[in-house]
Amino acid sequence: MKNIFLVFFILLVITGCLSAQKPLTNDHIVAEGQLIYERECLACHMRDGRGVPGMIPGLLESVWLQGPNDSLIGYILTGGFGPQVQMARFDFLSNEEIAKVLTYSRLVYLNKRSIISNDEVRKVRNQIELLE
Amino acid sequence: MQKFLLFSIFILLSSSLLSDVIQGPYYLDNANIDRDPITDIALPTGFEATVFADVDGYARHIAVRDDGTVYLALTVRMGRGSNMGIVAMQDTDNDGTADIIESFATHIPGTALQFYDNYLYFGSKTAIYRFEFEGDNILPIGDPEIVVDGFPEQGRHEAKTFAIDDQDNLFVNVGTPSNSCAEEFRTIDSPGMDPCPHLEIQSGVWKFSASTLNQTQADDGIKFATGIRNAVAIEWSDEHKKIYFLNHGRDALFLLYPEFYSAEDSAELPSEEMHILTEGADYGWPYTYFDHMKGQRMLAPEYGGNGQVVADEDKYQTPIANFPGHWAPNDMMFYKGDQFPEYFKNGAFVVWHGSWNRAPIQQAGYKVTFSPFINDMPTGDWQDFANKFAGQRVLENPADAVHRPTGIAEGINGEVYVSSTVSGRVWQIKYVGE
Repeated sequence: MKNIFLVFFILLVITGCLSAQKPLTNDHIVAEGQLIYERECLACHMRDGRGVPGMIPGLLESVWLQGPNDSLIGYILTGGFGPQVQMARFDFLSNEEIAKVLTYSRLVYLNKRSIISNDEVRKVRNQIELLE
Repeated sequence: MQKFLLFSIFILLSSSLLSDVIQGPYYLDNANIDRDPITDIALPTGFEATVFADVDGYARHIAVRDDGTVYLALTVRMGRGSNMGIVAMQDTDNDGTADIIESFATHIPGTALQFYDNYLYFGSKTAIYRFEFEGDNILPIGDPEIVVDGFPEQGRHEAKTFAIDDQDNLFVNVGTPSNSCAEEFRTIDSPGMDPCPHLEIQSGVWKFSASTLNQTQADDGIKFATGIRNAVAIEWSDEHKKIYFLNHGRDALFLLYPEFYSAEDSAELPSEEMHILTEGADYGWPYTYFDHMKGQRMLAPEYGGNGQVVADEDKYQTPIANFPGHWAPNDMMFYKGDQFPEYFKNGAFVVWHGSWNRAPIQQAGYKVTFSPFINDMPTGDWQDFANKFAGQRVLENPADAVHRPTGIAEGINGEVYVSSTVSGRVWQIKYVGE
């Protein structure tokens, strides 16, 4: 009897863990990315993501944001080429911060759910460090 | 009674903290005046505007010929603007709207315009031209002559604005190609280059002869003053016998140095500074910036500053007036006429193109202010004169600004003209009485 209770308890713990790993909701993406966006990106790309005309590219038509994950991550880590204001290198952000803010930006400014993982950022960062 | 006394002291204290903004006799009560639905701007009681013209182009500075014709510079920059050159406008029936509009020099993009000795001087991105006028022809005769050429090509702060004094000297603003002369452009914690190479042939004012043709910066230019990031607004005052200018302060203190500056600090700092142009003077860019909240010149973070370290006061000029950050002073004008009330005589109007670098705080500027002068010095106070150019009350993205004021000039009857870049609009402003 005691054993049956124990097995039941272990099963309960396992189901609990599994349900915690359900996919990220859009609300989660926003909650995790918005603060990073506001701290690191908003001053140039603006709250509405349109940037500053002629000076700072908007995100809504950004080929980088729409493009493959690797090149987008590489662009953020090494800095970009604006028409007037060159984008800084954001390699001081953690892999997790970059993953979250890019996932957030794709959702909010492209209306596209496309999750970038910490691991993808780590791999690109390693490749860049090898080049340097 | 005691409560009243305390209240009065409180009011006194709070007003002294805000002493920079005055409510002069022709003060624009922003909170209670709506923009005019026809002209899109708001003016103090007693002033009226008309839409003088809506030009197809990115409008810059204005000059008025002694026959009353209004000339407007058009440029193409940062992917904005359709037409280039100079637009000539006449209002033959005096209704406040131009009825003759012609263009010339449409192959040259430029910002600065000024009449001198019956020539119209025009500052482009790399040269100063002049056009000769004859009789009552609205258009100049002949091709443009080159006064100075050979300024460096640069992608930003490239407008060659200028002032001409009463001794035939031409003073040209050569803007800096960078934000803060950091080793890596706009990159976190990138130190400043020392000495800053952008001070060699840029970031200052160069002196030339106003009436000699075919000069070059390298052969004929005299480096007159240095440490100026970009003095788009530069103006000779006939009354005060001096050249005054306003500098576009640097950007991104918070973005580049979040450990030293909050977003709020970075929206207000550095000050936009008004100065008198003095031979041999250093105005402090890129090593320093001015903090109007502290009333001190501070060491720039690229050069060892942290928002608290004061710069060497003896080495750099102190502004004669200062304004909140990122408002972008694009032109200034001393009022000489009699059409406006006496209060405005010999004081300075400043035109503010408006900020982009104040987010996440709302954007600001986008207006014309007035600084009263006593003798040759501003009192330090200023008031709004024309406002609501941007349109909506809270502006987050500069892209949403309906108009962005840039140029200002006085007409032959004392009326004032103001131009807008993004809309190409030109206003005529008159005092009509209470």
